[in-house]
Amino acid sequence: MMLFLNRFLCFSVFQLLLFSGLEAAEAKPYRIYAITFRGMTDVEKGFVDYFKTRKIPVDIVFRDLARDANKMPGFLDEIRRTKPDLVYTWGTSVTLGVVGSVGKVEPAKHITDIPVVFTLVAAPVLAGITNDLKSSGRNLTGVVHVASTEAQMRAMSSYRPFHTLGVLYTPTEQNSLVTLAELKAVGAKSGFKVIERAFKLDADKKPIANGADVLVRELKQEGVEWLYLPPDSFLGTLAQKTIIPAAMELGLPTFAATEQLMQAGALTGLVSRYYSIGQFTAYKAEQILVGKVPPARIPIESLSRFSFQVLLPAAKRLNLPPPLSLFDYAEILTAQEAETP
Amino acid sequence: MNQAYLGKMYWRLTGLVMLVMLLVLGGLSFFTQSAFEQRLLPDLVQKAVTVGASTRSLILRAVDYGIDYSNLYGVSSTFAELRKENPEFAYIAATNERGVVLFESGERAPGADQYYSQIALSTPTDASATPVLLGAQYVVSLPLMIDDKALGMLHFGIDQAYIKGVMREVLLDVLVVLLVSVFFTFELLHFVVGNKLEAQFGALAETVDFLGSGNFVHASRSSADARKAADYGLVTGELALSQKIDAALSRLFERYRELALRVSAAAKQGSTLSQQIDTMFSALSGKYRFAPEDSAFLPSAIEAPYLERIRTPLFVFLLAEELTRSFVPGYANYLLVDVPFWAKQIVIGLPIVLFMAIVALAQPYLGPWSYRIGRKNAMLIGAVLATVGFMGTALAGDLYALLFWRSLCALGYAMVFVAAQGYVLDHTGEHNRARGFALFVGVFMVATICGPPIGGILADNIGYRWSFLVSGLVALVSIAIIMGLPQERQSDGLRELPLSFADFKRLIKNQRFTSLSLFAAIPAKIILTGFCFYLIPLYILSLGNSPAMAGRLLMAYAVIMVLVVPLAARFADLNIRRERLVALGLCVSALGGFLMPFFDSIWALFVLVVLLGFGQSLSIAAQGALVSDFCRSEECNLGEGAVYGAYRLLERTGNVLGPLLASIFLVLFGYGYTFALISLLVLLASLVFALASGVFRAPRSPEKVEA
Repeated sequence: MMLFLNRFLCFSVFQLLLFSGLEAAEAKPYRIYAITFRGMTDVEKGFVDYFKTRKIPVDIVFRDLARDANKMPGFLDEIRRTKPDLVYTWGTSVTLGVVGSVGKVEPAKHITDIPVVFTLVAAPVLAGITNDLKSSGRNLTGVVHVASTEAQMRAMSSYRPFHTLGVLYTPTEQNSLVTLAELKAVGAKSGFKVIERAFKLDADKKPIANGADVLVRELKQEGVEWLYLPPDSFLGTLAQKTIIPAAMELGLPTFAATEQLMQAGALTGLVSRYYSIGQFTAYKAEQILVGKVPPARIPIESLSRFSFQVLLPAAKRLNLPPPLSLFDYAEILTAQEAETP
Repeated sequence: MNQAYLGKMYWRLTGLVMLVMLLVLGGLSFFTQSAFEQRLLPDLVQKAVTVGASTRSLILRAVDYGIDYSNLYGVSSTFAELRKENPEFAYIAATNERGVVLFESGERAPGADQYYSQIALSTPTDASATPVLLGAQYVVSLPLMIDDKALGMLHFGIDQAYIKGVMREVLLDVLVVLLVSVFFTFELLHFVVGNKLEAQFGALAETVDFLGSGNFVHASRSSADARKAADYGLVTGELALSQKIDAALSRLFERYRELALRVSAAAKQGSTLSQQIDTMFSALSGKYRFAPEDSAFLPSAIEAPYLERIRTPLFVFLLAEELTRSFVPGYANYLLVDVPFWAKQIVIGLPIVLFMAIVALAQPYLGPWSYRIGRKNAMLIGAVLATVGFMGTALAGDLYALLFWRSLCALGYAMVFVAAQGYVLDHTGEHNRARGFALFVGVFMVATICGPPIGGILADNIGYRWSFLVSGLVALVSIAIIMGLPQERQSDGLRELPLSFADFKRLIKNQRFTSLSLFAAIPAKIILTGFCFYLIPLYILSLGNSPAMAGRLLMAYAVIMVLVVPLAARFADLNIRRERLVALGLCVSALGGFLMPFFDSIWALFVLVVLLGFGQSLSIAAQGALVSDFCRSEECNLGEGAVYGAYRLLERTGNVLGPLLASIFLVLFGYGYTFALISLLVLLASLVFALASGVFRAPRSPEKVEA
């Protein structure tokens, strides 16, 4: 109850600030060093817009990893050289590259003396970024973008009840393994079966796209009623081109954990708007920069509200119209909306 | 004469009020029934139209997105959810343009298909929201149109049984309120005129008694009391009567004085005649009392107004607690927190168990305490504590807070209870103590009749928290009334000594006393508190009924008590052995519980409550009297108060055990068998008691009967 209240208050304060446009101008702009994983997304748009609305002068340097971990040392050197006021990291891989995982931090390599705000991390505890969401105990805080697995499963079964769930995962991605374990735990509790298939790996133990559509077919043959699309980076790269089309062809509905996967054409999902996530991330950054609050004192949170999205063309193609009650509160996406990035 | 006359007055008043009540009730039920035709149905139809409009817009939105009307998904489950939120709808359906049912939830009324296809033919706009009775449902039909094209219709079936249920609830509430208002009226009557009226009657009756016994001095005093009471100008006839008696008495005294003067004058002459006169005069003075030589003695009729004054504050205070009876377990359930290793049902019972335990344990100490600080002060402190307790309970955040505040209520309750009891003791003598306690018990019974049903209605309408607040306000009012009590005359008070352990041990050794306590008194309390205070309120909620229903059942129990106790007392005076009454009463009280594993209904509970009330009424007076019968020698040595103190203490452990046992059984066996199991225990106890006290043996010899 108290926890809920805290969350609520926190969120309300955030909203209040968002729309009040309080004067917080100072002569010198705050310098932010931002690293993205796969170019600019709506998250960065929301992040930048928040500071504009609040009239907080910021000077943001954007760097893109472009899914290439080899670029990371160069970025870290640049951070050490330029000494920004705050570092912004997008996704689990970038974040871990900058701050290191708990217990394995190398001060010479990782950034410890500059506050870090991460965003779009699905499971910070399981990924080893922190041990506790209430306080990282480190010089960092951030925003989680996925709803709890339990809430997602509830949403899925409210669309169409199911007994068997299919999921694809990347065996080398920590995040992916963790999600799978959690799915199985929820399944054991709520009485559904989880059938999983791992992406194939090449000689360098890197996941490969080949055969992903075959995996989907296998799952369908095993009798899965839904294909769950977890917040998995590798899966994200294959969703739009391979996985979702394969599922559509088989008449298998897909459920998305993130807005990115919704945009890739999934039937439905319980997601946070990337733009809102960006704003919320900026709010946390503001607390550190302007409010001078130590990052360890700022809890790691998700937005308190998620949107239940339904891609109508997919629903029609699968002949799985959304339940009547969803028309009351779901965000129904028609084709044009879905195409916008 | 006093009692008989008052009794007659009471019954006449009761009859009158009952008659008025019945007339009002009849009129009310007639008007509410017809009001239903005029108000309730159109309201429900309006609700169907409102709910229908939002359902329609939802369906149209889906169709607007290009989903085929007949291909919609999850419509029936949406209907089912609507019905759960609005229990008045027994049925919701959507038909297509030909009147064929596509989606539905609930039971389709007979003839519905025909009706649907029939109205589908008429232009849809004609199908206004006019209810049509099909079977046991009023069906309201609304058109579904998209761009002037008929898609189909929505149909809402309003349940006739639901409407009847609402009416029944209203009528029952009205009945309860009327019944309660009868008792309230009496209490109010007592408050306004009763004190003086009764005092006046009392004094007058004593005047007559004194006149009859030839004690003219005291008769004169009593008459003066009566006149004093009559000065309030309420019963002028009585005033005139006592004035006449006064006049006659003063004439009598005048003549006695004259006679005495003449006798002494004659005595001075010293003749034999005068000696004879003197002897006769002494004989006369011996037989009757004219002279005020023993004026130190004051007749006790004057006590009556003081005694009566305890009535209203006690009633108001007890009412505050009784109001909460029907919903304390429900409130505990509402505030429930997870207590490790404790089953939920037991935790829910804790507030009652704790309350009873505090009352039981505190009483032996509170008696002497209230004597020391004064009864009025003790009552004031108790009422203040309870008021704070009620307010705190109303605001309690969780079960722990509830336990704390209820403990405060319990302490306050025990204080007021004991102090009021002491007050009655202080203001009664040997001759009217029984009347004093009858008053005490009477007030208690009226509070148990009025409190639970009103509390239930309150909880039903304004919620648990506000209802506790109402209790708090009632307790606050009682503080104000207690402040109006007279300051007592300390010297008159009866000193009660706390029971010593040695005395207790001595009593326990008395086997008859022990068997009475263990196998009659404690089981009687276990079944009372276990059933009435714990199981019934919870069971009623589990059946989907409101706290108001629990209140009504508790009221039924109290009403049975009030009706049967006087009858049972008459039995006890007849040649029926008290042991038999006690055993029989216990058996009867246990019978109802055996119904519960088989019937899941309010009616079974009603039978249970009636049997329980009947059984308890049969045995309650006899139990009390048996204590005295069984403990003659102990009473001589320890005093009546100590013996009864020990007995009550033992008895009250039953109050604590009742909810505790019930909650443990409930965890293990569920409601039905818990009722039956407790009944079985009580039945066995009554058998043991019957055997131990020789109920089945031949009737006692005559000299024992008088005991």
